[in-house]
Amino acid sequence: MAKVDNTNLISEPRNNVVSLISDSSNVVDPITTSAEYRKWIYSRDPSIKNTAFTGYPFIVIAPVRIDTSGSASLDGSKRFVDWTIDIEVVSSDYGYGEAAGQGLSHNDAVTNDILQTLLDVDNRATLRSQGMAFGKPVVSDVLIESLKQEKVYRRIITVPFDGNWTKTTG
Amino acid sequence: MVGQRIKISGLKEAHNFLINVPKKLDKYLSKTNNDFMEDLKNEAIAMAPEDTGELKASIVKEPVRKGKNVKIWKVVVNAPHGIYQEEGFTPHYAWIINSSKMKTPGRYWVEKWTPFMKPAFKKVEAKYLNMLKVSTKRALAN
Repeated sequence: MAKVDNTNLISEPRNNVVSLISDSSNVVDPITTSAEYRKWIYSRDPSIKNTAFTGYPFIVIAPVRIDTSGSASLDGSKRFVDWTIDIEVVSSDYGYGEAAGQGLSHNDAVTNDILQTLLDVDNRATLRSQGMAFGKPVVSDVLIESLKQEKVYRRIITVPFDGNWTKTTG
Repeated sequence: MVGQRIKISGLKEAHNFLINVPKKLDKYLSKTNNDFMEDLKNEAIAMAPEDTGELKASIVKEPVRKGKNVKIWKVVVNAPHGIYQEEGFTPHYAWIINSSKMKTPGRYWVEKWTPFMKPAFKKVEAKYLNMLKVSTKRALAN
């Protein structure tokens, strides 16, 4: 995690959120144990036909959208900046043995963990100290996509960070 | 549901708030619409079937009318075969002269189509609703 300023206005807001979500004590991967490693956080939808794809569920943390049109200080060195980050939780009913038919429950469990992490007082204080205050997640309904015999559940959590007084000049 | 607490004291402040709300809503929702159409275009390009790449390259975002302050956009598929990929067709023999899969030009049986605009819309729709909630809150708060 690092403080957001003029040098990292686009990269660090996402990195800070990824740091929180990728911490396995915050968000638990429902199909692996704590001793295992599996890549399950992406910046865009992974290619599910690729041999490197490690299966559902996975999380997509999209690049941030930034709005720098807010008011600025008199000398222009700081201004109010808004960021919006979309986090998608994608799970599937398709799987073997115990993993079959778990799409919705996995999606709910991961979304629960993400919301708990983003609303946690300590985590919010940590984000605030890095210049990312006022994050209030908005959660969409579950979107069910049918891919032949497979049902994919997708839920989108949009996290806006509004009105952060940010250094924008070196 | 959008929740927003607004504190107004005095008639002048109430008057200013009421005057400014439509302008702010217009500003924020227009930006959201632009972002949504950009997402829709990108998703449609990702989902469109690819052979020569002509279909993907022909998907563009355009303003609904020409002008300086246009706030309504549309996603347009310029390739003429786009509509058949989207809506389907009766299987038939077709002359194919430009394809990366059928190297030899000739008469081929075509029976498969891949919709891309409707699935793309369905995928970004949920995100759009979230974006609308966020931008409405921003318009009311600022």
